[in-house]
Amino acid sequence: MKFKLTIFCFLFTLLTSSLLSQETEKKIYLEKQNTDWQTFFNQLEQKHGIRFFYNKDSMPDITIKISEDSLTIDEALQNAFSSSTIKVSKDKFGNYFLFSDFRLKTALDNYFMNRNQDLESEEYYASDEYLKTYQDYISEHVVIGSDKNGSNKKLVKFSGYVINESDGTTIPQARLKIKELNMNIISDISGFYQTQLKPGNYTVIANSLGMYEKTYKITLLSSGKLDIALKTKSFLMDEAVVSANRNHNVRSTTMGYEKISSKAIKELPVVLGEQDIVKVALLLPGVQTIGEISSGFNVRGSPADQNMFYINDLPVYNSSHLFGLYTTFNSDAISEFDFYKSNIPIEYGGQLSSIFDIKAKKGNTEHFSARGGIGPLSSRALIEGPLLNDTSSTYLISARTTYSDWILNQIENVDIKNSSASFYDALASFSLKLSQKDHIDLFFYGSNDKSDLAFGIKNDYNNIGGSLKWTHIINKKLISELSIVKTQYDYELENYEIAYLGYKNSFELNHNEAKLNFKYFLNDWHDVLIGVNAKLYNLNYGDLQPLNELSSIKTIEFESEKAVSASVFLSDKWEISNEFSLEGGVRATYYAYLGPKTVYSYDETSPRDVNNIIDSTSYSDNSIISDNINYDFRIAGKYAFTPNFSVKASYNMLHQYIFMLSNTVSVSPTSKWKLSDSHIEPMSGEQYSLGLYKNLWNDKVEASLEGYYKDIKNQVEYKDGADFLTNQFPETAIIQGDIEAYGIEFMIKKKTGKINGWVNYTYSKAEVQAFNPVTGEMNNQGLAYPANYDRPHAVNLALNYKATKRITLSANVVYSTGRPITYPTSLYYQNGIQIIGFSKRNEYRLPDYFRTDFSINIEGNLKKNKFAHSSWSIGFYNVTARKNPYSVVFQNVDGQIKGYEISILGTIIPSINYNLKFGNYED
Amino acid sequence: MKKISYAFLFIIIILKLIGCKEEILFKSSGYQPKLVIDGILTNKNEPCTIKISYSSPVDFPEFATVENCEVSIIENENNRMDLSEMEPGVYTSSPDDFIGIPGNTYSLYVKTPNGNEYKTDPQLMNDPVDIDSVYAEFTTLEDPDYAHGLPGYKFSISTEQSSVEENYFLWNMTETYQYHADYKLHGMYNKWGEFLEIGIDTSDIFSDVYWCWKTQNSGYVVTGTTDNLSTPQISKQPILFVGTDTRKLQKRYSLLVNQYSITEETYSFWKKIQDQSSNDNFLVANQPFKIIGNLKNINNPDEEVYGYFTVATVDQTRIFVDKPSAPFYYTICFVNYDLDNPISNYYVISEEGYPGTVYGGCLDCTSKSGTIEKPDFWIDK
Repeated sequence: MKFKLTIFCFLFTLLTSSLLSQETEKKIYLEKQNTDWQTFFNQLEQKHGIRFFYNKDSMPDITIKISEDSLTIDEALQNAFSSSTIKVSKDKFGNYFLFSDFRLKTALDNYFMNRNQDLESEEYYASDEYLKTYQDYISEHVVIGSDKNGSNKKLVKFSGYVINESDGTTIPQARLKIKELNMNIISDISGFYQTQLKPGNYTVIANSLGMYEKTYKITLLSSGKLDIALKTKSFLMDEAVVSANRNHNVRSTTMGYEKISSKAIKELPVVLGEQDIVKVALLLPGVQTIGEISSGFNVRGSPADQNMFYINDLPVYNSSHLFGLYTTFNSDAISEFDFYKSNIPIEYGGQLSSIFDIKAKKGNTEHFSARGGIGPLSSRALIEGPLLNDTSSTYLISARTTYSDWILNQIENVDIKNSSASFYDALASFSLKLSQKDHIDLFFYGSNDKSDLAFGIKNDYNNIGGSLKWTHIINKKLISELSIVKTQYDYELENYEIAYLGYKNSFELNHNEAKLNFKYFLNDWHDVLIGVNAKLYNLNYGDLQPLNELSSIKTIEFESEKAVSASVFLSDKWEISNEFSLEGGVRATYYAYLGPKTVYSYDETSPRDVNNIIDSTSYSDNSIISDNINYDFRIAGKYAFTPNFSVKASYNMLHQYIFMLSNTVSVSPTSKWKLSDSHIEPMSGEQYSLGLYKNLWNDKVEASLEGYYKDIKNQVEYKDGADFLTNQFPETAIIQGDIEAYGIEFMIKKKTGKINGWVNYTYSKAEVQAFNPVTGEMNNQGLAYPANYDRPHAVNLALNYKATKRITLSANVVYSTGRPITYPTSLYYQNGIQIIGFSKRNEYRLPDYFRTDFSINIEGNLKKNKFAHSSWSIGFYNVTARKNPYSVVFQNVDGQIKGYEISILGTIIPSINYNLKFGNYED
Repeated sequence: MKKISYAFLFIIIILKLIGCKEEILFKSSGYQPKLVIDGILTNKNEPCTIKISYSSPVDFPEFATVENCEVSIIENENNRMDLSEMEPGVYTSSPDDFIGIPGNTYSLYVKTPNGNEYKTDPQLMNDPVDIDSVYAEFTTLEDPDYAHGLPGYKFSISTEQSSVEENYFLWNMTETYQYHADYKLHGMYNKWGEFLEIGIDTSDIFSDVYWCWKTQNSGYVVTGTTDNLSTPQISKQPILFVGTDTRKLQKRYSLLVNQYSITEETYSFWKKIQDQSSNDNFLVANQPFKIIGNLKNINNPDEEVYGYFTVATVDQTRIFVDKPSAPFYYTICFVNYDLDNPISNYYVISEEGYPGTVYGGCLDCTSKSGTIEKPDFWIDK
């Protein structure tokens, strides 16, 4: 009796409160498991504070089996108890009531609610809030199939895709509820759903995380399809969403991984009028840079050429504009990027350190839309919409250009007017749905940089490429993806500093690639990936030619390079149990360096030098000069102590066949790429990582502690003072060595809420050693030295505060140890001139780096239906105006050596950006 | 070469940023003295001088000599010639019995008082290549410090066409210029408080030290090669820029260019020296490193010895230029216009026409380490 009374009290309270408050329902998705009902209830009580009310004696002995990801508790309970006499009820607070044979009413019938609403005034009807609610619940009536086809059938097929209305991407794991049958259908990885139903009238309620729910009334006459487009929610409610995310901090096997979505970009401080999504990576642990002006990122102790930027499968060999101040990716057109620095997926091979997998947005499926932005240095524009009035095919075209040339021309000084610098980039993305099972993505990308520096160097570089990807769903468990990629990076350099030495030179890198992947969802425990990949590289070094008739430079012909690589790879993700999962893969790569080419052989025991050439061999076109097979092994494991606390470990091995030849401290746009050949071994890298992962407060806060040890063999280093420009024997200018890097990274991240952001601390070391004991070639007397980007201590703080729905404040704080430099330690005289004696390589350090940025983003009004939405971004870079030394240079001033510390952006740099788009805030 | 970071300038301008370049004082740490060898043996009829010293800390430049060494030059690996110490640390040959001959090899042997023995490999003396001409071109250099650029003379050199295809050059410049003290004395007070005007009441006691000549090394190393050229001839290789930011162009300026023909190996040493001492374009700045010379410790090959024993044939040319009609940007002596509180008894009239007092050094050109002796080679305009 007492028990019943308690329930009654509860009932009363929740009735009243449900009328008073419009609290958002908590959605909790469960992961695969197999437990008895008591453990299941206990877990949920502890984790989410959900309470279950039941009479222990009347409960049958039932196992709760969850075989599909992302079931809600309701669904799980329904499934589990449907065969028993237990009826499940739930109140507005998420409490569950389990009774034998009768269902508890936890809320008044809809009839009462409707009556209440009818009493509301006209004014309420007109408000935004109501409008939204009203629109969401409007039913669309769809007739599927025809009487003729369906009349004699007992069951008919009902299928379709769930897609995101704003960008046309499909939504996996969306939930379709067929109200009348109380049945749930979940869309698969490709966003496809299907089921069999009796012909009839149904109400289908479709929803997915972060999307508005949409209801359809359907009349199903025969087998047919219904594609459901869901709208993104303008603002994510404070709902705790626990999804069985592929890259969940605690539950996945992935380590050293970060996903940055375009949503996050609105919350980024603006630098020089641009919010650069890729540069967010610099705020992540383990990512360093040499300074403001350097086009490379250094990830976990690796040089910049060991990262690769992919945009829709297209490798981009030079990802920087204006000496690295910007990246070549227009953030407006990017939906997200995945950044891997620890266990790199097996489908990638070729770069030892990290992968930036950038995904361009897909066009709007519903209507034409345009957006743009105006900043102090550059402007952007983007258009998108459905293609050929077909909602399942879309296009998106974006372009960005600078007007720095115009600014230069405004300066009175004639000499400065002679300088110029400009850039642009553009991309086009077409998404075509050929059938239910075939999808084609066509993507083009191009970027250009031009500069003519007053001191006599003219430089022009381009990235251009396209990719074609055909996704074919063979069956529910097997998806194939075929990609064909062609990209080119080239530059032209003219030097007219000294007339008689004036020269021009060009470089061209062609990358052709074909890739075929099969994703096989074998069963609930195994996800298998099998693929093949073939690459063809063509590198053309051009000729070094005299620039004009004033030049007496002799033309030097450089031989071009060609190589092919073919890889086969296989990986399996194995969920052994709830606690334990493993992921392993192997990638075998055959690499062949091909003719035509003249190959010189050197006396093996002395330094590789033109004077030590003992023989030369000419190879004909496509003949194999040297080849090898290398195996990359990658394995990662996770053990979850609790659903919110896990330990992971991984081992990664990779090989790299193309590298950048650069002797400058920072990456200069004229650095050439070079293939591994018969003299230069492919670089190989091994990385061991171990980490602890903990989620707190309903997954609102993610914490991780990751340690790594990395060992790179055959690292290509320039010999001290070597020159590559006029060198026809590049193998004489390099020496292969090792990099040893290790570090520990600590990160706390709060993803949602009014205040969100992250803070991380990294301790890391990276040392290079270049010494060949056989030939006696060495750098730095054969001793190990810190890499140029070695910054042992680094702290990054990124904070966003959503002050109101329209105003977001963001701040970054960056601290790191100063980078190592080679510093003068002594002076001496030669021929009456003062000369510097330098220390050992990178023996000293610049002062510490510290910077704070601040920005405010103001959105225009958030009305649901309007013609255009505008926003302002105002940013302040380096608020403390600290002059962070970028470099120290030495200059001979009247025979005296003087040192100068150079700082770039050593002052507060304000900038303002105006963004405009047609349509609403987040369409 | 006056070579400012144009790229740096450029970035400042286009981005309208305030970039910053600040001089830093070298900190002395990690200093370990190393033996330094400095000397050139030429085919010219002049003594060969080898200087032996220790390197000094960066913040305390000095010439720390090594005395009482045994120094000798070995010709073609058998003909030994000893040098004698004429000044502390400076070892000199007698030109009467020892001049370099093209085609021969020379190596340097040094034994320091502590018994260490050093030797270079035999260094070949290349055939001479003559200077064709040295040019002086008046131009305005872009410089972030000067809104309208820095005017001055750009000196460049052309060689004669060589009979050999690959030639390597080192150019060393000695400059001599005539300059004057910043002010001419206008007047002074005698002990009775009477003002004596120069030219009326008394004569100028500073008149002898108004004009001076100063000779110094240009301070820059310039190298060149015909290695990559279609014809083995250097044409108009810039070697020096002399701007109006110094006193050098006040009256008349003379540049003596020494052109050394050297071997490829020697060139590679000097090229590295040149690259590192003008490594101010940080955008394309190469990784600096320690440059080791050609003198090796016989018993301890790991010991690093700085400097190079250079063997070269030499040709010389002198060129004169006169004061350009262009604005000058050097700073001159401070004039105290407060006549009630004079800083000295020397009254001058400033350029703007106001009377004031100056320190004696402003009236004496020798205070800027010049000499009032006109050099023998000097030709007035």
